[in-house]
Amino acid sequence: MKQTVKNLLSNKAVSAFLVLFAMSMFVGLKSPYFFTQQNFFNVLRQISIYGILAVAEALVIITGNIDLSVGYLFGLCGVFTAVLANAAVPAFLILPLVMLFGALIGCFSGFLVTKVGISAFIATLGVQNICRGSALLITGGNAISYKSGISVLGAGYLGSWPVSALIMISVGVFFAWVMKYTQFGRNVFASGSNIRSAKLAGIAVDRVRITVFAICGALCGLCGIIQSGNLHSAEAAAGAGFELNAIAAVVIGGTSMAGGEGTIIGVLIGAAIMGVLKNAFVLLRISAYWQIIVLGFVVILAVLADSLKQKRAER
Amino acid sequence: MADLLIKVSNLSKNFSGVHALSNVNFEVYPGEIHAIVGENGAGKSTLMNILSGVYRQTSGEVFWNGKLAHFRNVKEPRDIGIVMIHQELSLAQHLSVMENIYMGNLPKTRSGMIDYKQLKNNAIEQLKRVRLDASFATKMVNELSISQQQMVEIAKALTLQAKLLIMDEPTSCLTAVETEVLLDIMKDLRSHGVSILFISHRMEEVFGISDRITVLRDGSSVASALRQDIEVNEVLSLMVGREYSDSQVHTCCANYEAEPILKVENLCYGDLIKNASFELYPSEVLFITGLVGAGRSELIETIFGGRKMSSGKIFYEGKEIKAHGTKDMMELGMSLVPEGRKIQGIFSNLPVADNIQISALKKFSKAGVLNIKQLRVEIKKQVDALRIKTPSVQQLIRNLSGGNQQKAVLGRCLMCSPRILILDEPTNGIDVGTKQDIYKIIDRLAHEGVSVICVSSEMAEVLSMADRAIVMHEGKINGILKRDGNLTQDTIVKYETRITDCVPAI
Repeated sequence: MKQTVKNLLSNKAVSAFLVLFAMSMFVGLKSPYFFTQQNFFNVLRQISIYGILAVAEALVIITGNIDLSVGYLFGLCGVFTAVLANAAVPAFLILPLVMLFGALIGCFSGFLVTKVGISAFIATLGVQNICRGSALLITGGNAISYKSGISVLGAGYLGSWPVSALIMISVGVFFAWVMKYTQFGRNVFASGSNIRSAKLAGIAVDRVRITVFAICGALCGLCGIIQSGNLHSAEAAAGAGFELNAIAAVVIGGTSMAGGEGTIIGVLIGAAIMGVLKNAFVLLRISAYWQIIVLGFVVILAVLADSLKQKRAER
Repeated sequence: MADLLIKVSNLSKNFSGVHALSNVNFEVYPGEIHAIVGENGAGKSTLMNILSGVYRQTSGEVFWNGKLAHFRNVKEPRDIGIVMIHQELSLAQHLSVMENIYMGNLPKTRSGMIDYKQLKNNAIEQLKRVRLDASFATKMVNELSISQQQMVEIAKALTLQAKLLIMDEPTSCLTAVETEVLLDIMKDLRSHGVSILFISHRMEEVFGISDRITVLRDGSSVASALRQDIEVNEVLSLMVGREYSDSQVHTCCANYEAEPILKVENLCYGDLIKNASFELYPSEVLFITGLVGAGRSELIETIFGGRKMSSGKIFYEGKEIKAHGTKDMMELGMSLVPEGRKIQGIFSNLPVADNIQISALKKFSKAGVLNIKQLRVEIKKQVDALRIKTPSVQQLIRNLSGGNQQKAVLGRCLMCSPRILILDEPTNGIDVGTKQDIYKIIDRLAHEGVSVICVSSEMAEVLSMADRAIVMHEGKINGILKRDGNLTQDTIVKYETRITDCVPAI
């Protein structure tokens, strides 16, 4: 029994959840509004984009790579959504088209990393700038507003549930299942854990890594639709800086930057921690700038606890 | 006690509740070569790490020259003359040999600049002591072979006025010839009053060179004796904790009448493999031996599809292989246990289950979705059949001992039900008990109809296990020797060191 508790506590997703729980309790005590249904759905809606992006980024990080382009790629996908909508493309076509577009750009990143052999950091930094520049070129630096049925994904509600939050939850459940119960999912872990072992074990490592970049890109497309749909307009800078927040959520959720380790549920909890943090500072009426500083410390603490434990084990 | 260089008394070490060492006792005298032997997980490395200040003991004392010593960091033991050479060499790959030898201690001119002339002269002086040519001083470390790097490590240790040199499996990556040189250097050092504490799995070495032998088992020292007072089989029994017999484990069951399952014709890979031709028969255990750098690993990796051959042909059951990638070969029924378990064998941060199942996922899934139940049964089968010691298959593989990790990699291959199993140095750095297990598994597989190709540097292994042995030299197959024929230690040494006409066994 004691051992089970100990094992549970050493599980990074569980410890992230405990942090989330403690944080919620604290904020709930300080502000009675926190535990209202309205606020719950509000937070859920706010974190839906972080959540999806974090899942996308987590897949890439588990293969031992990193994707810095997700923020501007989803900005560009938002712009692409607006362009399609304004060209009177029917709503049901916009979703697959934008996701395919994102996937293609992801493929390009993956190609650069695996076949050309550029480090993921540099390759996706390049792609980030390409996306940013292209989006600016298309929009001329302005926001493009549009009207289309597709914006229901960003702004709609199903009962009192925001559609975007339901999408995030589905994406999370789906990929949690994929990572655990499919051949592809296990190959992703193996490729990230030890690429040479994986090759010699007969895994098509390059294909796995490119696929992961493509999935990441497709999910960026989904985020682009949600974000622009929510505001009924798109701009190039819509996702500026989101890549770092996504990476932060991934790390808080207990994913190893070295690859081969991490859980989707942990990543979603990581995103939730960031959402609650943001919400708390609004409710408690503290300057939003403090929130950024605190987030910085949370990221460091998330990794610190783990590396301290490791150091002690080595002594 | 004034005579002793170092005395270890009741040393114990716990890692978060687990006993890695308990009550270890032994003594080292000045100018003595002292071997520490034990199975993997017996605590040898932990012990060395305590003596070199990497870990701190939980209880017990270390006396240095009769005085109680407390090492709080890695610098303190080094300052008094205890220098450790780790199994994974730690030279800066992109610096020159001389800079590595004097790292942190570079000679300076009066104006405070680095005195390269002095550095070179000093380095050449040190290189002489480890029998390396003066020209090595200015070479980059990454141009050196592993054995040369090891010599540089020793030279570096000598500049620190080492009185006690600790070496963790110094010969595990060396060939027979290189090992000889290293052992000679060790004797040299001994005659100059340096004591050496070394870990080894190779009994020939331990009994060939050491003055005193300490046996560890399950974290405790079970014996410490002068070499002449103890027998090899006694040491092995003490290590394993049961009676040890060195009997023949493999009986030949190769079917030389049948068509060869694999036929390699004039295979070339750049300059590394030159016109290799050989056949592999059903149920045969074929060894490939030779010095390190002879192209053994390259040969099997080329056959397995990990490297693209420059020219040549490979026939599988009489049919020429066209699509020649790792995946294609695995689909044909070939499986590889690679060399260097940590680097290209295991997935260290994944559970044992993943490590075993990963190659066979396709076989046990439908439309990409895994059949978890069936997988669980199959993994259990491998764990039981190979006697992998693990609390559960969900345990991370890095928490297992080296031998059990190796068995898991073997299990991964067996789960694909291979018809040809290729093993590259499967028993390197593995304890005696597990070695015997692996030999038994090879024997069992051969009797079940699997053909086995095994690369090995260990003479005893080749002689006791091989039905036939290919001896390579500088990328060429120098001879194919057959058991009950010309497969002897002498012929192997002859063929692996000299250019001779190829002598086919059949």
